[in-house]
This record gives sequence, C-alpha cells and structure tokens, in this order.
Amino acid sequence: MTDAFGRDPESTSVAGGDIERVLREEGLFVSTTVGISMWPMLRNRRDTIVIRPLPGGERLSVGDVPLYRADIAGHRRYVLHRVVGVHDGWYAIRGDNCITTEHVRDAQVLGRLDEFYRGSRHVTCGSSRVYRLYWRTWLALWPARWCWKHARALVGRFLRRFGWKGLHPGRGPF
Amino acid sequence: MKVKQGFVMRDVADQTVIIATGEASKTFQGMIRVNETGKIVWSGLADGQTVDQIVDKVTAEFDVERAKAAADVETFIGKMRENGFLDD
Repeated sequence: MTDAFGRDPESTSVAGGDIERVLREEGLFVSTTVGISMWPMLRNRRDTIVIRPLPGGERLSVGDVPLYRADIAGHRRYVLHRVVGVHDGWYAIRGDNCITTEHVRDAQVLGRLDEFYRGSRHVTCGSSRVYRLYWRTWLALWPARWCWKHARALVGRFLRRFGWKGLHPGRGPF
Repeated sequence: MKVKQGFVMRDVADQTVIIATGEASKTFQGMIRVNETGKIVWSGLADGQTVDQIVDKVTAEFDVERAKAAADVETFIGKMRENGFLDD
C-alpha cells in the first residue's frame, strides 16, 4: 500500500543517496527544506518542495530553482538555490537570501523545483504569475540586498569589538 | 491515537505523499506514497476520528466488506506506527 523512503537521519550521506534514487525511480522528490538560504520564499523546515528531473536535454532558465549536488567542506550536500545566469555548461546560482554566487555545472543538477507549498498554500512555479513577479523582483533587488548585507556585516563587526553579542545571542542555526 | 505534529499530506500531480516538516523532519527524512485508502485513513486520524469511524468511511467510499476495510485500515495504521508517524 505504501512505499517508505525514510532513512537514519544521522547519516546525511544515506539520506542524500536516497534523493537521487527517489528522483530516478519515482520521477519526483517531495520533502521539506532545511536552512534559510532561500528565505523568504522557503522557510526552514516549514514548507514543502516538489522536485522533478529535467526533461532530457532541457537546460535551466534564469529564475529556475534547481536541486544540485554540492561538496561543502568535504561533505556531499543537496542544495536548492536559484539560477541567476545561464552559461555554456554551467550556471550562476544564488540563494534568495545569499549574496554569494555559485558556479554549478550541468552535471551537478539533479532536478528542478516545479511546485512548492508555502505552508498550506500551493504554488506551481511554471504558471504562477505571483511567483514569477516575486522572483523577478527579488533578483532585481539583489544589488540593494548586497549593499544592505555588507553594511549590516560591517556594523556588526564594529559593534562586536565593544561586546555586542548580536541580535539573537545564543540562538543556534536550524 | 493521532498523527504526530509536523507530518503533512500533499497531493502532487497524480500522487499523494506524506512528508515530515518542523521538528519531525529532524528524525524522518523521506516521503511515503499513499493510495486512496491511505488518504482516507490519514485524513481521518488527522481529524481525530476513531478507527471505527475511519473504517465506516472506507467501507462507504469503496463499497467493500467491512472486514476487508478494517484489515486495510489496520495495516495502514500499523505502517504509520512503524514509521513513527503516530502519537498513541
């Protein structure tokens, strides 16, 4: 009646291997996301993503949100960020809440975000005008966001010299 | 008996899946595909219905014998319990 894909959560690599197998065997992958790099669109452990493999030969477009394989600090990770530039054999990719642009090769891309639930609200990426307006606006605001984040970091570093502990002291990541 | 906080059911194209969000996603990372019977059972438990009420619903929806419906419902509940989706 049901198929279970849950695995031991302490073994990130096993969970990661499952993503690729599920995409290959089921043709889609549904999960929640961890982290704040795609805020405000996706919130840590609150929203639901639906990933499907790209149809054969199709490339991503600016605005698409691919799921790709990345090696971060020696660990295999599966990352969901947005395409901000399309190039020959690779993409410029950046999280909605990030200012660093990543270089991601075609071969790293496992699939694309086709739908998501923000809470209980369902969004189809390819057809939602509100969603298209959101990402176009958000990308257009990047220069201002870049300036804001750098200014905030500078002010934070300056204040920490005088013992300031940050806006949310003691609060860990996810 | 009720569904643990954080487990949600989502309709995706022609499939229905259950995934974990929130705190539940720290211990369960995957997706469970469910069929029509599973959808009714899940929705029933999420709404606080008893097993008997859920069996009644399955019997009415699929026009099957109550014994068969009860067996299917118990099987699905057993799988949910195995995967840690339920608070007893």
